[in-house]
Amino acid sequence: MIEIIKCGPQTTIQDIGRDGYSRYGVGKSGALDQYAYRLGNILLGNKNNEAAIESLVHPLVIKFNVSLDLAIVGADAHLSCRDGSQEFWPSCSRFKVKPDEQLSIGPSRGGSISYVCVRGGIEVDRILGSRSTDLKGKFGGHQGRMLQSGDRLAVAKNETRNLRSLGVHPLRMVAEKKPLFLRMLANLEFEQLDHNYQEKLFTTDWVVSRQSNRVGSRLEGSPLYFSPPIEMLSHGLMPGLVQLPPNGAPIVLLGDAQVSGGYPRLGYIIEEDLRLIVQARPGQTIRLVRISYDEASRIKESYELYFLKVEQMLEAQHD
Amino acid sequence: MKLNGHINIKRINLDALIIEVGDHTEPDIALQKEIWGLDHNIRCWPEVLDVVPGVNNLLIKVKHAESIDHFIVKLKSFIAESDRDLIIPKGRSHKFLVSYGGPGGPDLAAAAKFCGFSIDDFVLKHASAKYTVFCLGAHPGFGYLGGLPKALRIPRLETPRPSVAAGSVAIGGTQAGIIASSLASGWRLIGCTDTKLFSINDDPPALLAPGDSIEFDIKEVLG
Repeated sequence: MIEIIKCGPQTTIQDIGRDGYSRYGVGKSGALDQYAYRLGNILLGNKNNEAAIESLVHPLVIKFNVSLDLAIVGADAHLSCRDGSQEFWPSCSRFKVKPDEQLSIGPSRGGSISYVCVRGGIEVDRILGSRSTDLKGKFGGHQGRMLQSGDRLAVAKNETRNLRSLGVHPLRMVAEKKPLFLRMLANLEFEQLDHNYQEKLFTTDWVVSRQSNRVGSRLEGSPLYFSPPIEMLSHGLMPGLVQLPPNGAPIVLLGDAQVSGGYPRLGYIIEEDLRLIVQARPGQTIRLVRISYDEASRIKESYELYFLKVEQMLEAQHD
Repeated sequence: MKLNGHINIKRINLDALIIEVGDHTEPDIALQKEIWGLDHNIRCWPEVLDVVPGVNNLLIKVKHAESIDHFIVKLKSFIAESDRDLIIPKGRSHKFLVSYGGPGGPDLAAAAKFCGFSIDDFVLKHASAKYTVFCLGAHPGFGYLGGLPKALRIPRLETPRPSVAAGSVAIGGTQAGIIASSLASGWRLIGCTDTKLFSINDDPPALLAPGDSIEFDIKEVLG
């Protein structure tokens, strides 16, 4: 059992997300930084989309009543234990905790989202195929809501597999201050944007707004407009979509966004770069970069290859 | 029904494409029937991960991005078959008993005034219209309804309410709807119904489906 001693707002249980229920208005939800979430599970040998704790605001302080194999991934967060020994681990690592230990995650040196993955996963029911929390529908995860102090989470039985502590050097840690480059496919209503606004989309130094959350990330900068304004009929949405609402500030949709909407669409940020914007703190500078479908495919392949190599490396360790 | 030749297929992401029918800016019920037909047929194809019906459009997510080109070819030939007869599922009928006004419909009086009707006339006009569920989407169980009389159109609130009750019968711009979960909303609340529109314990979890027809019955009009 894991007990929440202290957590920030929007701390929830998530897995990879829900697919196939959009027709009922049920969105994907799921881990905002899918790369980190997957890496955490790979580190632990979890192969079945096991649920984890997603923390959007540090610190997260948790306590255990049994020995557990954990992986803490995502942000480059300071990790420490309360007991006399004061052990420290680098983030993006797995290790065993002892019963009655209390672990503090944060502050962060880079990035804002941490995942606490546990071997076997957090035990909550699968609802509509997933353990992710749907905050709009108020189901899934832990009682369909954000976590708070005092919550106790059941964990799967940890078979005694001797997992050696180890860490992984992550791909592209989030850099602060320097502009983050997010690669995207530009299509749909982008073609109807005035040429000079099209150019501005890719030359503006956008800034991640304070108002960003699990629903979407707002970008502040010199506004872009359609003239005349475009009225759209409601259409399906997916995480990664860059919308341009009438106020001129682009929004990048994330897992908790609604499944249909009516704002004009500029295109999709590639899945592999979504993790960079979700990990970015308000005030971070962003630049959008247009790429082709072929380039997007190659990037996806390189990430899948990375995961495969990590898995193989870990398998080799256990032989 | 037969498909007409004004269908646009656009790839939008590595693993997704959108089908658009017609180029209207107003929701068209005849075109929406084509969407229901396409949805009903395509959703069971093995390549498909998810299908999201929209208003006169259909978003399709495929399981394997690498074979999306093959999928688009298959889709195009399916649509092009000139003698194809699309099966459209028969929608269900729903009647919702509504308490208009009162604490469940705090915007009723202002809405009636805005539209230039007495409260009773406004309620009669709303309740006597026949609505069709175009698709679901804003939140679990929420249906976009076509059929709101033009005279009852009201713009959304400037500032959304942070939380409205599930079961709220509402108007947002040109659309009517029933809010299915307690959420923030800028829609005008004119009444409420006890019927539950979404439950994870039901299969399917949403009460409404695209193609369903809806009638509102007046339970009472509260002051």
